[in-house]
Amino acid sequence: MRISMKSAGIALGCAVLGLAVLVQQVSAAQAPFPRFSRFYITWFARAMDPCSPTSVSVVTPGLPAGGCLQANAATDSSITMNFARLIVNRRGRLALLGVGLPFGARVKVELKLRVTKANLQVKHPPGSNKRVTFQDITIQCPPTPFGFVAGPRGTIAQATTLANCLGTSASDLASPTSNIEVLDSALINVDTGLVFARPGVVR
Amino acid sequence: MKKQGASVVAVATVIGLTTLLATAQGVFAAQVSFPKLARGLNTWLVRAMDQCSSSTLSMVGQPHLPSGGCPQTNLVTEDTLGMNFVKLRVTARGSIGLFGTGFTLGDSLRVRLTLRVTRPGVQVKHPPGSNKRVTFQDTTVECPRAPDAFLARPNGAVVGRTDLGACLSPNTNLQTGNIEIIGVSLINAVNGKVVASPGVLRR
Repeated sequence: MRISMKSAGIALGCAVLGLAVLVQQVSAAQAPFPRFSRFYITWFARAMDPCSPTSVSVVTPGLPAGGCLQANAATDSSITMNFARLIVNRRGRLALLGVGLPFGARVKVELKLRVTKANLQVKHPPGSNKRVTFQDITIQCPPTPFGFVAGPRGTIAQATTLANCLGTSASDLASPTSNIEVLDSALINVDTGLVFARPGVVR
Repeated sequence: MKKQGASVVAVATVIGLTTLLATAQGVFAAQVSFPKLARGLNTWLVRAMDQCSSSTLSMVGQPHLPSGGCPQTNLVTEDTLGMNFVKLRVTARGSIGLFGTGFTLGDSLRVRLTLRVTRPGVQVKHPPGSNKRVTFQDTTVECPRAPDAFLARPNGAVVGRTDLGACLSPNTNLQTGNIEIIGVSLINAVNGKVVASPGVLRR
């Protein structure tokens, strides 16, 4: 009987220890949000088709031995662009500035976001004050059919909000408190549905 | 007979020229010009979280949020480093600058970039040609190159600057041209896990 009680005690101790380790692991696996992250600003380079596999041999030194002739079949080739710049700020406002576009060009900003929100109530399993990461979401801004439209001078200087782009069913993803990762951004020609610019540098 | 032969040659020539013209036009139309200006990326970084590929939680009382999500986890992403804020710049001069606080002395970080570079004036041999515009295969680099890294100071700050050309070595000539930044993240140099991604924090 004494031995049995001793065994039960050991088993209980092991269980408590295991639970403590598990709790510690779960807690350690949840990184805190940063204190602030104020904006995402990018200029856009022209989007080109990916090169895979290579189709030409390159002899210019300081470059990879293989490449592809520049192609714009999967990317847009009809829009012209002198420059474009995107700003997303911490208030969830998104602004696009573009110059050198054809008059009437219709442009949308495509963003792939991963949002983690704090202080949420969940039901399966039940709990409150939880941190939840949502499935990656790709949005096109603005959500209107025409997008941002270039004026007679070929410029776009317009703004919208992330909440507007997310629509009513997901607009709170852009409300406080949210850690919003911008995984990908691009400019889309609404007329062709193809990407014509991606974040980058022209040197 | 001679007249008939000449007309056949003439028709064949016209068809050949038309085809050549159409092909040339197609190739020309499919090769768009670079923007005049693209000055790079200037962004704050938010915490990188594990992807939620299938929801495991149901939301309650949140009509403007997706109905499902996942508890925030950082198993694939980094969870051991602290971070108050981080700011990253990739400039038109090819400079990569990082400034952050909230780290611990000795933490080592690198910037991981996935780039798609298109360069004009490239000499190719199969098929032979010079002054070609070539898109190279997407390349992922870590800046600064291993074994170097941006190291946290005793006050927890990380201040570092490096050069895109050095990161791309030995293909240093990839540092000029139309450079699309397909992906960008901050990684822990010790374990290679992603610490932060571009984004905004809504408080």
